[in-house]
Amino acid sequence: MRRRVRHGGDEADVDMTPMLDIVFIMLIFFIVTATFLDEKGIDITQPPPPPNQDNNDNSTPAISVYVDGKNRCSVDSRGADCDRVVLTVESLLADKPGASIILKVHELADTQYLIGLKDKFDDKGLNSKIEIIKG
Amino acid sequence: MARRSRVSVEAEDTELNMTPMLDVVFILLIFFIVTSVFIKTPGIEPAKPEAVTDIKLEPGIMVAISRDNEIWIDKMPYDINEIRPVILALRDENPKAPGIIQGDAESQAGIVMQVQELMTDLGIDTRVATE
Repeated sequence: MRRRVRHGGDEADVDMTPMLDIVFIMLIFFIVTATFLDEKGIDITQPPPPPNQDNNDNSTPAISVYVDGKNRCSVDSRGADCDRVVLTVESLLADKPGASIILKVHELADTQYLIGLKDKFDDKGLNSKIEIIKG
Repeated sequence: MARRSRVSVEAEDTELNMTPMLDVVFILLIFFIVTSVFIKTPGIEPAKPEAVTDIKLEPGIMVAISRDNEIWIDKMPYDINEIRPVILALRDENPKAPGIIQGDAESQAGIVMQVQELMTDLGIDTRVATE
């Protein structure tokens, strides 16, 4: 070692300290600003309404699920427990095969019912259409 | 022999071999650069509803809706009528990025749906966050 220094330039010995400083500062910056996002979500995008909407409504039977502004659920105007809505709809579907499901949610109802019911219908493979009732 | 050589090394200039440390530091640096996402977080953490059919996504635009139906974007609360330009600006910064709405389980469904419709209108692929 001493010998190399004495010869001066025998072997290139780069001073890495400034680079190390910069690398450390960058490292700390990226550690501090790193945000690890782990997001999950469901899609509630509504398909555009078909052009011949009136004809469709008449031809296919529909089951309407309604959540009112006080978070009470009903299926086809009959009160139902919010946890049992999907079961009720399934039993109604047995009578009306191929019926479309309309999920009517009052605008003041909690988001969890909108998301929860849509998710449960999706889980059962049932297509449901979301409608927001204003008032 | 071993003892003698150690003594002689200590007698010289103590100079650490920094190469392995540099390797590790560089790997860490590259890892953090690659995984870093510069997105504007809403600044609140709503209690999201639970779901089973949800899928993972990496959002680029985040909108949160609190229990009191305030819409939070980039650590600022907004009213439903004010968010269009804010979301437009975010979309222009990060086009093609999917959006996510973090609606509190007890927020109003009408507000969540309005924000979702607005973001879909602006051409953002939007989902509602779940737990």
